[in-house]
Amino acid sequence: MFYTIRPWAVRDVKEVVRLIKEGAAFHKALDQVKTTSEDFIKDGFGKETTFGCLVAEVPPEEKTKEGHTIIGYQFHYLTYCTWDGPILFGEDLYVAPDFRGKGIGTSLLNQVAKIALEKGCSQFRFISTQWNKSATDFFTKRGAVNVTDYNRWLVAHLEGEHVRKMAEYCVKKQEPK
Amino acid sequence: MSAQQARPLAVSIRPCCAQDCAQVMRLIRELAEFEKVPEQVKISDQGLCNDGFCDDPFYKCLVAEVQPEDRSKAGPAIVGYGLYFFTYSTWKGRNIYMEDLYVMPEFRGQGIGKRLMSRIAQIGVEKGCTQMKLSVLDWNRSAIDFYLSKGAVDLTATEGWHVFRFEAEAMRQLALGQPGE
Repeated sequence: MFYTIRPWAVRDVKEVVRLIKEGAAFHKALDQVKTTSEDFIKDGFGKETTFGCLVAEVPPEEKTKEGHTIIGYQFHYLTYCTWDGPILFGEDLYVAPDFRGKGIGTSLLNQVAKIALEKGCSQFRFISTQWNKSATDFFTKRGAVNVTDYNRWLVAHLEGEHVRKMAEYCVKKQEPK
Repeated sequence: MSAQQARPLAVSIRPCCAQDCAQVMRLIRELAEFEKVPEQVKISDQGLCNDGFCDDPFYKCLVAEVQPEDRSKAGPAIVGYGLYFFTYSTWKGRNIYMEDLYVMPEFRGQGIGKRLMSRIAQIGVEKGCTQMKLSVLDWNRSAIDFYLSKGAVDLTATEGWHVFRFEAEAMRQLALGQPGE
């Protein structure tokens, strides 16, 4: 099957949002998706953008039943490790189920590794759910190390009102800006 | 006679400047020592400075500085730091990531860590971030308790999220990899 891997353009955003929702549904977390095409267009294409996205596209004759030609994506951004310096972080890697087993996921990963090297990164990191065996096997077969198991790092976050409460404490303490 | 109450040290939270990098590197090494992996610190003072103060900085950093009136003669001025950068969630949009939060042990218990973290949260809120992300070692009970008390959720425990990495050689192999069929 012929396909291309390329950086996304504004015209691809709606399609990637569709695939993000497919991926979230697989994680039983569709209700957690709050991002919109407008968010990605506003934040993703200006000088201050902090992230990039690769898309996998098939030619029109290979399109899905619903007429889509964008059938995979990989979302990434630069981060920093105080031990290793710049690190490229992969937020998502997704290929629509009907297009798996054809090397598209591998090609997306190959391309993002090139981007990581071009940007002077010493590592490519990402997160994956432990129960998603086919994903974790895919990555570990290609040389990925499970940092949570091996080095005992947990992933955590503060959301919404908890972030606001922390921010308000700062205001109360009148920290100078 | 009334009991003498020790007042907390006068400590200010301010953005790190290039001249602070050597001090911040000292604290980075202390933190790595605590995390039992001092040999893992590969970056140098100069590297940290270049990466934070170039045209396109990779990170931002806040430092906790003891004010002159409370500084001891041989003691450090910079006693804590919080290093962060902006990321993006495909589900939630703008995020702020707190990579490191560290206060020297002898300066703990005075709210410096909370002040550093709050300032980072405030910066995140000002930039429209709805999430603040971080990582913590599973045996670092005091840090886990600190974050949980601020409303953090352990995503590894609750949703099974694990961090993976491809190191340099594995990345090079991928980059050389043949595209799929």
